[in-house]
Amino acid sequence: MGYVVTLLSIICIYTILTAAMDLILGYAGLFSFVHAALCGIGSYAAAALMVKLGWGLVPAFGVALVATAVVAWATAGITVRLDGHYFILGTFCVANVVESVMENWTDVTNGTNGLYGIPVTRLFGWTIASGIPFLLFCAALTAIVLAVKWLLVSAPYGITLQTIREDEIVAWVLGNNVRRVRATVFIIGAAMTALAGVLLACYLRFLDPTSFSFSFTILIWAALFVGGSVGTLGTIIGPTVLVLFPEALRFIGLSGPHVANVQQALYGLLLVLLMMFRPQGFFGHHSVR
Amino acid sequence: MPILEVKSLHLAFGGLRVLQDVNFAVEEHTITSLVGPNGAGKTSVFNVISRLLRPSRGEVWFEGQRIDRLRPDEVARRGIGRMFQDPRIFAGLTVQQNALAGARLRASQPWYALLRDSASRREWRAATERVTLMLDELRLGGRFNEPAESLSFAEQRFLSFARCLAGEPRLLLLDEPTVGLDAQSISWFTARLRQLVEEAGLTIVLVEHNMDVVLNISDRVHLLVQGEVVASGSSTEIRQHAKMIEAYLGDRYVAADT
Repeated sequence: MGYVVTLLSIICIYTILTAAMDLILGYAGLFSFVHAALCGIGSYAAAALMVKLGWGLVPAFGVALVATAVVAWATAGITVRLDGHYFILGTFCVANVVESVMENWTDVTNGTNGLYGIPVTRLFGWTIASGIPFLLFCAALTAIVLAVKWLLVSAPYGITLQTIREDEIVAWVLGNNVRRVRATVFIIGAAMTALAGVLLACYLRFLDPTSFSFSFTILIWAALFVGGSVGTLGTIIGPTVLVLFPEALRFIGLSGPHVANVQQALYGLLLVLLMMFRPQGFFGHHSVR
Repeated sequence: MPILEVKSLHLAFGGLRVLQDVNFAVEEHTITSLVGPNGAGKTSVFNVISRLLRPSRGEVWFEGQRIDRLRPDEVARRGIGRMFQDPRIFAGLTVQQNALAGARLRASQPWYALLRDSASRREWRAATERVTLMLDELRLGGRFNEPAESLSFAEQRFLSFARCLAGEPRLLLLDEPTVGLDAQSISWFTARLRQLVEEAGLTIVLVEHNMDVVLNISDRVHLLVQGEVVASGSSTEIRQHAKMIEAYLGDRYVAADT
């Protein structure tokens, strides 16, 4: 039971990250490499405030969101002027900077030793450290994020985002300040990412910089591609498949010293097959190829 | 006062001179055509007006205000609509979304999308109705929810026309709008353009290779050759202009007139 609840909580957190990525990449077409790093900023900001200054969850949550949004704003200021591949490179560089700050700003992050001792999550007097309460907390926040995203994209704003993905020049000529639209969606996505980051800190109760490396960004990309971009269902199904797939392999009797490698190989195979036969993902409306 | 004035426009890419001292003015509620051989710089003039390119020298004035320092979105918001040589529709969106993409609604901004106040919703609903009527008229009714990439080339062109009109521009820049259309569609489309000018009060600047269309609907024609305006006049004047005959027409058109 506890095992299932934990998996569901993780699926919720990944769903938030995937939904944010869908907004940035699926709708607006921005290949952001800085996703995991922004999630890390949210995690570290909240955790550091709780551990080092003894703040409660709610104010730490608020500051984490704002801090991540500010970093995203600065990142957007540099990168949204860049086209296509250069945007990827730009966000890649920012992600590198963030990662080295996490490793070296030891007063706040404890560096490579990791930040431990994150207090048990308490919200308005309730303890929601793990199990069902934590799952409900995650599910509620996931629902809010998905609702906000749905409100955004079902309005003409969703069309605007997609015009920028489809043809930037035409988007300009139709009267959209493409750079500003990109920056705004990037910041909105970053705030959502930070929210997932705080949940991750509450769940793990231990953070180290390697948790927020590029492979984490790539995992979220994979979740989006598997589930399918431009939509809500895909951003839930993708993370679900990616979280449950390794667990399923365990249940069909794959175990022993090589299991991790076999898992990785099967996981790779799944992605390759998906790209070949269903490039828009299970429930996607747009191929990100 | 002319609605659009292009004053001594120069444009160069490195050593390549694309436009040299281009001057012309466009009167309100008229159709002006820019004609000339391939590579004469016609599309570049459009790109400078819509600020996709920055002129090396010269000025562009629209409704008495200088616009050559603005961003492309600001130019569009001042009331200049632009259609490209290719339809350039948004393939991944539906027909209706494509048309709405030109409408510049309040709900196209994230805060209003979240807020959904009654004013934004009313504006959004009105735009949807307007776009629906327009698509009906362009014979795209009943296909609102189909992906735009499923349309034929001619239909895509009409869709991009609808998208352009959805922004309610006062000046339309149309880049070879009749390419790929059959004779029947061309005559219907040119009649529609004339109607927009006479009834809706629009002003149109046209880049066009189809001389029948140009001479049929233009109030004024400018001939561009190698980045310079070498001849200007009304349709009747221009078809007899020596430079025009030399660059373009052949004697058929002169003979037809006499």
